[in-house]
Amino acid sequence: MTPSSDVLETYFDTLQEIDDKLGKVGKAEVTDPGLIQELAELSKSWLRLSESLRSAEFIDGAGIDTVNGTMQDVLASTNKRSRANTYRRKLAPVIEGFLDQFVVPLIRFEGSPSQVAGRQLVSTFESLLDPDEAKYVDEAARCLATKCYRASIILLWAAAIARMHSAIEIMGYKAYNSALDITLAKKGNPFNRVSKSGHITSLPELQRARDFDLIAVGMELWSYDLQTFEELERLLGIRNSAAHPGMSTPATLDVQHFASKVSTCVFSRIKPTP
Amino acid sequence: MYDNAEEVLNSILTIVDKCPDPFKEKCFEVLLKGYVDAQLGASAPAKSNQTQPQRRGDPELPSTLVPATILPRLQTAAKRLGLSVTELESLFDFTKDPFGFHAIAVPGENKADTARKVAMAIAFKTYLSTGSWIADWKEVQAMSVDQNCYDRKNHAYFLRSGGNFFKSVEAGRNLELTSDGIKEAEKLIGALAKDGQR
Repeated sequence: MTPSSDVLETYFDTLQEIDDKLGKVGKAEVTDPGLIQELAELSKSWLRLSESLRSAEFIDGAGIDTVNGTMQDVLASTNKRSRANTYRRKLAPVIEGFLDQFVVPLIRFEGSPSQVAGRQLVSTFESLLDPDEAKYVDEAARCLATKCYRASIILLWAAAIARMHSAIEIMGYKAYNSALDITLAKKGNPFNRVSKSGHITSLPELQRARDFDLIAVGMELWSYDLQTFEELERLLGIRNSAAHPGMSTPATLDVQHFASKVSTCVFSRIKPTP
Repeated sequence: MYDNAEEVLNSILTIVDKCPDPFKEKCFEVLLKGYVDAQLGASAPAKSNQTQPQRRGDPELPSTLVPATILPRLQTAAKRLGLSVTELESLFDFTKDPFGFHAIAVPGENKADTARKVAMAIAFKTYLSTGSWIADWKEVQAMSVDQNCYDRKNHAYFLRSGGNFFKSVEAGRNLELTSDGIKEAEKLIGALAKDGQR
């Protein structure tokens, strides 16, 4: 995973601090074991960071190689007797180009509209998710940030269904089956479209239940009205369009709109309580 | 209308004849539709264009590129700022997804002032897309770099100073505008839009 610009900025601050300390030693040999240890750590940290930075397309790989060479050299020098000005001479080009080569491109990437949209998606669900549901939303946000809009919609719906499943598990299958019976006893649309053999006694059966049945029975279970059900059915339709080949071409705003509706209709209404 | 219909039809039939059999019907349909559409376009009365937002020259009508979910907020904001919709629209590039700013130069008396204005401009953009006057911290950072007003160590201080424009300023957290901030942001966007028209 690419490190954040904050991590790189902190690294740069450490680099400058160590350079200042070396400046105070002047031309003499570095004998302070603490400073030698800091130099070794600085080199090792960079070598770890550089591996993660390589996955970022917007950072020049040649620049990473150059700094890697320098840091390996610095690391090797910590095992020998070396003068402070020798270290400084090696580190000077790194310090000079570090912000422009690594920090600024990373800041630009993090602030790009697609990345912002991903973060906005997560903030739509702020304080509404449990850790399991958050995984789906985080993945949806990553999809949105990389412009995989259909995938993002599917994952958001998966988060919604995860909430319904966990709520049903807490209420008990008996409560679900009773609500299903009440739903089936009703006449007309949409009740006549609910599966008649939908009773469940285990998690695998719940996982096999149709999403449509869940949102229809949900009117009894979570006391939302027909308008909310219709909204959920529309969302399910959008999810199905995203999951199947066709001419649907969702864009960022569509995903954000979908997320906002899921947040309102599912996560704000369905609370997992016994 | 259809003055030269016979002549055009003959030309269409000649072209259709050259097509392989399975495509002849479709080819005829496409060419004829093209001709009819062209005729309708040429003879349509001016008033029928009033429902077509892409009509050129009317500053109150946005281009068709503006997403439907953004349009109402764009129109309301333009009205509130005393701008035409096209003036306000001209600040943004709706051909991109997600949409962003066209090249703009954010004004400011110094780096701190420019950084605050950058945050306000971004909050306005977020308002258009989500309805919330919030600026993403990282987006502010990135645009500040582009506007040459990013000072790594003083960025949060810059945003905090100069007035009560943000509800709270914490490094890494989104910036939500206060009512004063919203007024300032609208003033800024108004000025940028008018400036862009000059």
